[in-house]
Amino acid sequence: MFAFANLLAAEGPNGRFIPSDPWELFWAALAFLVIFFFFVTKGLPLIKEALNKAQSDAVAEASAADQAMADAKAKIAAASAELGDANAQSEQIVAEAREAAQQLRVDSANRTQQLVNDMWAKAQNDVVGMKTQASADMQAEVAAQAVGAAEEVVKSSLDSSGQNDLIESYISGLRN
Amino acid sequence: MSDRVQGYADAMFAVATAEGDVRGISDELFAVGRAVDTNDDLRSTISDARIPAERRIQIMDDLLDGKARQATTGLVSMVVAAGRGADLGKIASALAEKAAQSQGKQVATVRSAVALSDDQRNRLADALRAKLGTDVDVNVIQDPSVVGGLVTTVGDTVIDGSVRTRLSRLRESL
Repeated sequence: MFAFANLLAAEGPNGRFIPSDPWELFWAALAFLVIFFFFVTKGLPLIKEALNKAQSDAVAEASAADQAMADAKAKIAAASAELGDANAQSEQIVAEAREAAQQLRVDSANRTQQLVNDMWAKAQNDVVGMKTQASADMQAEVAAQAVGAAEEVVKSSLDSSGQNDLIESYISGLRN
Repeated sequence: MSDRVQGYADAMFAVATAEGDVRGISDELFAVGRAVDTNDDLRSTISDARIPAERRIQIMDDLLDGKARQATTGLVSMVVAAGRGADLGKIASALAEKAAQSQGKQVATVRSAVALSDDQRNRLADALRAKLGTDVDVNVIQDPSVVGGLVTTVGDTVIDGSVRTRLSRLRESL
């Protein structure tokens, strides 16, 4: 094959990619092999190490991202839970406030009703008391007038004879 | 009752006993005492230390002139001269009490709107004796506020038959 290559090269430029000197192929192949050797022995480990490092970095970053994602999801979950609790608490507070307001309204209504009842009862008692007092006053006044009139009648009718009759009646009463 | 009032009553009783007319003198002094108790002007006049004793005695002498025994007038003058005219009513009551006790009797103070006749007084005394079981001396106080009837007080016992009380009961019942 080397001879065939020398033959072709000896023909001169033939428009094909065939060097005119076959040693060029040799040196080129040698150079290639040297370069390839260094590439395989020195370059490839470095590239492999770099790739491995890049891969491990990528994996680490992915893990970190996953962790960050997990953390974020956990935080989101916690925030959601807290938000849920907050919502529940706010709903409970609102419910309690509504209940308190309702109770307050009921209490206020009850107190108002009680106040009205008390005032009504007091008014009725006052009316009864006023009636009673007025009746008592009227009775006392009538009694005073009646007794006064009776006293005047008795005094005017108690002449000497009447006085003596009363005295005799008294003395007789002592004996009985 | 104070010792002073009782002392004057004891002295008056001794005088009345000496005069032999305890009942008469006691009755007159009781009437005078009643008059003093019911007349503020008279009571203040005969107990006013600024008025000379002779003047106060003269006032009482004029009031009793011809209406009371000489012994009664003298006893009243004694009390007035001593400046105890305001106590004359209490002294006369104590004297009446003592006079009655000396005879084993009690004093019955009778209030009446009109004066009682001697017959009524005697029958009243008899009735009270029958009712209370003890002899009584009746002292009558003429009191218009009684209106009619009598109110008798013997010790702590009150027998009220007055028109005033009946009217009061009527007022209370009405």
